Amino acid sequence: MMGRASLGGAVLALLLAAPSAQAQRFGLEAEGGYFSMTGAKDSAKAVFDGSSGGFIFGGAVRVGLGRSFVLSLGARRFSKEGQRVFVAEPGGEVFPLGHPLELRTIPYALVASYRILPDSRLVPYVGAGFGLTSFKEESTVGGVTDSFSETKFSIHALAGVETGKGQFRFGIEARWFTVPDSAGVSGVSAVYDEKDVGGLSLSAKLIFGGGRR
Amino acid sequence: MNPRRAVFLLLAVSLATAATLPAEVVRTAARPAERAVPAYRPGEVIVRFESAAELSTVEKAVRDVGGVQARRSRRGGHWLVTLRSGASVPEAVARFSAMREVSYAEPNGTLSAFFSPNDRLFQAQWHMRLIGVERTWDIQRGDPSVAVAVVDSGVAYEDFGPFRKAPDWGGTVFLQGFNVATGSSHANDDNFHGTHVASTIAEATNNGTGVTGLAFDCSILPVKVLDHDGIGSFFDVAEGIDYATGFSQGGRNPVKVINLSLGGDASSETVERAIDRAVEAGITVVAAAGNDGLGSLAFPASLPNVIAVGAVDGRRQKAPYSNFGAGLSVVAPGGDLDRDDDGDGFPDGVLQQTFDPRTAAEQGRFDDFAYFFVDGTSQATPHVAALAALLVRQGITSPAAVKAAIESTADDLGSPGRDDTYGHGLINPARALSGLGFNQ
Repeated sequence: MMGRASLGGAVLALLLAAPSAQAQRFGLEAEGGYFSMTGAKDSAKAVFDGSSGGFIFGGAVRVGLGRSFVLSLGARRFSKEGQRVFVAEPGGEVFPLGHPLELRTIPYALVASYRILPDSRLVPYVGAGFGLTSFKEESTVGGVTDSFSETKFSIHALAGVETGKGQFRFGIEARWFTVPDSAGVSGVSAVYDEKDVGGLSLSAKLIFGGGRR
Repeated sequence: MNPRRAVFLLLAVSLATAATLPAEVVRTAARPAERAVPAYRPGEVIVRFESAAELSTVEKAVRDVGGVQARRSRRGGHWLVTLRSGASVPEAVARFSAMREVSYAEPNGTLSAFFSPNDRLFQAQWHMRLIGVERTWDIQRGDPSVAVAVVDSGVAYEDFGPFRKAPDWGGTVFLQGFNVATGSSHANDDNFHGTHVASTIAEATNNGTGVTGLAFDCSILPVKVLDHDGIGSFFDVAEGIDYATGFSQGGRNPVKVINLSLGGDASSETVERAIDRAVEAGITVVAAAGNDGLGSLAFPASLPNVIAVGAVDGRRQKAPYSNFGAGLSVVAPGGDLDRDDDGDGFPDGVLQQTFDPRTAAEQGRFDDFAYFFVDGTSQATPHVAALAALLVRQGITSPAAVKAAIESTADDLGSPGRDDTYGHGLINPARALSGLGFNQ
């Protein structure tokens, strides 16, 4: 599991690796948006009373590499409360049982992105990367709380557009990530045979620094 | 057809060998007031710092988060931080967790003793402990809005004529019964069997006396279809099932489960159709597999839309009398009067309240109540019917889903996976009531 210390170490390494002449191209990102657990959509809908996702927020540190490439390291957090259920088979009726449940997913990712039109007013980009995703599930039944957590390798792909000048810019980004074999062992994800806690998010970003102009 | 075998009562115990405990002295004990247990102690957070953290670092961190006091554990290397009045524990945990020098932080959560009933003979109810009832009761105890119809020899639930209400029903709710033979609402037990079955389901619990029932807050609908010898006909059983199916109170039918601790060799389209009507009405039907030790199930347990119940003893091994076969759903404690595996000096039957059938037969008295050890699939079945009622109360409302929940959460016994000897295994009420999380 990537903890705070190791993540901080990675950020530091990234900063040190950048040439000092490009120090002005370091940037920080803050983002918030909606995340849908498309990798385990039916399972999420079951425990979240019909919803497959919710709010996600996060941040990243980034550095520009040449005209068109940006490398970023960040983390995002998705957390949602639901309840334990019973479902006998895929497609079967879902029976909420009232035992509170909370899921938390935090993907940490190192992503390289390519600016397709770096000099235009709207800068579209695409990117890909990898990282570790921490998944935690906690539920309380009859006064006893059980917790399950794991950290798995994840792959990320994204596309977005940025605009703005100077130190502050704005962007919209769609990101998909997959966390193979992170679910499906037990619970409703086993009933639905869904093995991936990843999904698709659409978020708005505020970027401070790191611009070319 | 031999009428005695058309629909016969599954009594594995001969009345001569039924074991009783002496009538106990009843002590009055009020049920302790239940109170909500907070998830954590207000104003307290447990924090463990990295081993390299110095005392000054700890002090600064505690101050920064609003702590007014910190006490180090003797051995664990963690601290109990007391926050200033009104401070938010989740916020403090989040702030501590974000600190580099903190290994982990968590609320000072609370634990509570599991519910343990004060019924004096509970310790002799090995069958309840075998299926983890104390943990079950932490999750669900039922509700009078969910009723189990005991379609049987009647229940000692009221004072009427020569019949008396058994003393250990406490506040158990009984709905208006039905006597198929007389057409009246007085479903009084003149055999002993139905009362024993109903006691397993909803005996007054934690009332300081006697024994416990698995779904003790659920209500009982007494339906008498078997005579004083424990024998009934297809027609009568179907009538009883239909009564339970059509029962209405306040515009709704509280009957969600029908317990059939009865069966026979021959099948009946009349009974089968009555069961179909019950299941279509959203009622879960639970039936005994039979006590002949045969490799086929008795009727109506053999029907696919019924939960067919076999019996195990205190070792979780198939009771020698229990039928088994392809349609067996699960097993539950039915006991074996020839064994005393828990070494308590009593035979390992299912211990519940009823009246002495010998007194009833010889003197026509139905008031000689005691606690009887009885074995049989008849005794295993109400454990499952009670679990079905608890599941309905928890939120699983369709009979197919109730059956699936019971089967899929049973403790696998015998050959891995489902087998014909144990079905899906021994019921595990707490697991069934817990349901499914996302990935656990």
